[in-house]
Amino acid sequence: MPTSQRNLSPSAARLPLKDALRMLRFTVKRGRTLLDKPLAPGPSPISGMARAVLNDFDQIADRVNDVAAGLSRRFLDTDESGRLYSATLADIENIGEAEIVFAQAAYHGLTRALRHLGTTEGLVSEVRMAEAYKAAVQSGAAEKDRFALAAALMQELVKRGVVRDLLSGSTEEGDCLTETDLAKVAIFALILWFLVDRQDDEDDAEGLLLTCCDMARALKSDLAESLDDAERLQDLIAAYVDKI
Amino acid sequence: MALPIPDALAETDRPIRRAMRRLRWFKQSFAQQVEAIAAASGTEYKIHDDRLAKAFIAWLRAFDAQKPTQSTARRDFTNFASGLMLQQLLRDAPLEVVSVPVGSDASNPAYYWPEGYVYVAYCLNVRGAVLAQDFDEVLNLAPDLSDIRTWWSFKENVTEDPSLAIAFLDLFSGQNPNWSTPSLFYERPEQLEAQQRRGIDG
Repeated sequence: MPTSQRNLSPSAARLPLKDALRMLRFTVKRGRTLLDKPLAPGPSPISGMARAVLNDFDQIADRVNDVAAGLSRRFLDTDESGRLYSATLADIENIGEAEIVFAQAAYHGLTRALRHLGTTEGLVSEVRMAEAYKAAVQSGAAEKDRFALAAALMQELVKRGVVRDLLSGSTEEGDCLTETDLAKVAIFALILWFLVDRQDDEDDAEGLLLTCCDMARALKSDLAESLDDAERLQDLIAAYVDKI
Repeated sequence: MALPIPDALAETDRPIRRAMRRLRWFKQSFAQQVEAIAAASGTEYKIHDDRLAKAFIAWLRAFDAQKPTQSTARRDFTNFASGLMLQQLLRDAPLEVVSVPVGSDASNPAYYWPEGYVYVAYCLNVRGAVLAQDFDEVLNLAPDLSDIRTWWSFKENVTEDPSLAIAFLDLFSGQNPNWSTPSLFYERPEQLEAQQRRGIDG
């Protein structure tokens, strides 16, 4: 067994498992969504046969989903993501296994941000988030200041495709974002949320995250213009984080 | 005419001048304003948070672009900044009227233009709160605020040119409006007078 795998902590070892279980449930869910679509009209014997095959698939999908859901409950609910929900980037930097802690907190934040911004389906990878955090820290950005680290992290999260297979639906807000914009805006909201000062405010973490989403959505064009330029992105983050 | 005041603006222990430059306070105080007017008028509103955030960002940029360096201009800039806020709210229209009470009196500005009424009330309350906190002044509302004919003109004019909202807000609060170039801070009557004085003194 390679050294890196043998030395994995229980939390680190859980990340790929969590991703795999989430992917399994996601695949089953999306498959069932497709099955729910009306069958193409055809001659009645063929149509009847197709329906029978699909019914069988539906039963298998049900069983897979039940097993995956059980495993998910067992493995996914054992972390401390609830407690981490109010952690800031500064809090995370100062604790052991920071990339794992970041991935867990970011998963919670990002899935909520995506939902608020109108995502109906999608996959978020904790493994890729942990990798992104590690890469951002190793880039040396953290030694400059917290905005430099935030910008490097934002770029790594986008580059590594931590969010994929998104489907966007209409939101109450009306202004629908494309799938590509949605992922970037949600990640930007997450970054702002990790930085924003929470001390002098009675805001709950959830309410604050939604405000970060509103801010990120309003800055969508600025984000598109600065995403590929670390310095501009850093300036954008620094300019608006204190305005949340 | 008394305007319902949101709780966030009735607070005295927090510098509103600073708080208003944060989206979470802006959202919260605006929602409280909507709630207070809805309770008083029976009109039901829906707030579009995305449009509200857009208005906030645009206002912040306009604010920073014209913020004066002289401390003597701060009071007049408070008036101007609340006008800028009204202009932006009218442009981005974050409020939607869901329903108005049956048989409501359309000669009352609150029913004639329910969204515009909330925007005006909010901006006047922000202006009044900052003037009270920072300059120990009481905002005197002008009779024009309850005159429906002024509201007809207000709605028609700002629909064509939202920057006129700045001049109308001055009118509603008893200030001397700049009707020709309302969106330029240094063209305001008080600023022109100050420039003239500096020219004479210099």
